[in-house]
Amino acid sequence: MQHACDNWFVAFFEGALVLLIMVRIVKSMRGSIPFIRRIPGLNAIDEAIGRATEMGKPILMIPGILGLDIVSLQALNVFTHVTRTAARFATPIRMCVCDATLYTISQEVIQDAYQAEGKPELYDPDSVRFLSDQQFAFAASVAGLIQREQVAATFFLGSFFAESLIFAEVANSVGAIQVAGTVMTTQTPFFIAACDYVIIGDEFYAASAYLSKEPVATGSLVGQDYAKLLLTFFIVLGSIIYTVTGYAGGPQVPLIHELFADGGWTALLHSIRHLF
Amino acid sequence: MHNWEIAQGNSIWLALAGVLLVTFIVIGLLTKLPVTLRRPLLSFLVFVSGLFYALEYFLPTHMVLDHGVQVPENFLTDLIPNIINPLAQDLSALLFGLGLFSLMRIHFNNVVRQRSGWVNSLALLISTLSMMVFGFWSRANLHHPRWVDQVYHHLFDGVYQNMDAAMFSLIAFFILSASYRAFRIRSFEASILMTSALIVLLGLSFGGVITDKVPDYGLWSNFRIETWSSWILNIISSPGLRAIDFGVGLGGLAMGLRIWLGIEKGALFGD
Repeated sequence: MQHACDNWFVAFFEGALVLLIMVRIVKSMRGSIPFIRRIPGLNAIDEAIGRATEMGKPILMIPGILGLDIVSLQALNVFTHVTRTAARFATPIRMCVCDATLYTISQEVIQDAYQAEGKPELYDPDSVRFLSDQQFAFAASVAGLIQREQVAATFFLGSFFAESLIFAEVANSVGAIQVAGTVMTTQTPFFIAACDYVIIGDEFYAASAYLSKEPVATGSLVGQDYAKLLLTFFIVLGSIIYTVTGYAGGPQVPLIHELFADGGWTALLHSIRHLF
Repeated sequence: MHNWEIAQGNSIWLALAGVLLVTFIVIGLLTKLPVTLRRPLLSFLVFVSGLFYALEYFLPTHMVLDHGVQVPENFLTDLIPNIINPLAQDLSALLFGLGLFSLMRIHFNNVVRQRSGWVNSLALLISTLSMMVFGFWSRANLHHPRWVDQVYHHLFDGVYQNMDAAMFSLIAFFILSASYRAFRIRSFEASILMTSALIVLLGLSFGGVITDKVPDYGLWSNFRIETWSSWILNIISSPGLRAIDFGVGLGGLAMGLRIWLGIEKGALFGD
């Protein structure tokens, strides 16, 4: 287990990031709601649902293949929006999950979405399916479902691994319009190659703010941008320190490296003493 | 090995029955809760759980000898392997049962109503039941006949593992078809992608023979294809991926914070 006292610098740095995010959330809650730029992948959601409605074929949603975590909860947030829009037009949906914990929660969320749209009678308990908790057994089941039901639109949002391309290519073979988004940088290129719209990196977390325009989510999004600025400042500072001390006759181990190593501040003070 | 470990033998079945009974009573009570109380209760439990991990991280530690290794711990650290992890595992096992029930119900209905593809559903039911029966028989009962192990071995290593590997190997073909579409030169961006991919592919495979005559020292080494390939990977690709990772990490931190403090809206947390 890691603890704050292992490296106080990292603990303070995390505290600063949290503070920046919280300040922006509070400001947003008080009425200062910021503007969020257009995200093409999220704009495509309505287009995909519209196409499925016109074709009278189902929409497929997959919240990744991991269990209940921040990523899958975020995916469920977007799927709630998709389900509510689909419910308005009575478009059938299919949601496949790979984790039993997520399965029970997904059922609740999808049922709630139908109720919120005032169409509880459209909810089909079989629309949310637990297929398997094994990666490739799940991939095979999803590929089979896509082929059998000839889905018109697919939403792959969550944590994906090697199976991502199986989903995307099979869906492409049946002509489905595809929106994908993952936090796994190793799978993003596969989705870009095979899907119509891809939500990259932290756009995934911006999704709920973009769709709901809710003050807490939008404020948090701007807070993240401030936190990125802080990170950028440290990256530039680190580059300068590395360049100055690592290559100009200073200590061989750069300061910023020591700052993040075990002992954090102690090593920093030692290095400063060493410099002078 | 944790503190809650119970004795083997008949008492394990008694304990299991007791745990199931308590679980169903708790679930029953929770379902009777008014909807207005459910969300505050959920928020409270999430906050307490998050607070536990925050305190465990920030409270000072002392060194403890664990399996011959000195590790930093505070009074909360020990609760994670002894109580939190087993509780999470038990909950997952219980919910797995619900997932399995749903899967079986859907395919059982397919077979009974003879919907299209019902034979596949029948195959799924038979294979699931076979694995369950032979798996439990082979693993849970120590005094089983030898042929049970053989059947289990044939089902798991002979059938399941091979089918798993077959699905994995399909990815090779999908990579080919996806990359063909991605690399078709239709725009300026696609041309850059195609050129970069070609250089990296050549640099990592047999491309070295093209620039084999170029010296691999001094200024000349910059004209070798391996140098271009590693430059694209290390100077262009890696920083881009790290930048995405930073964004993803911050997004996770912000969302975790919102959920922990009960200010998140949307699925599960109300509109």
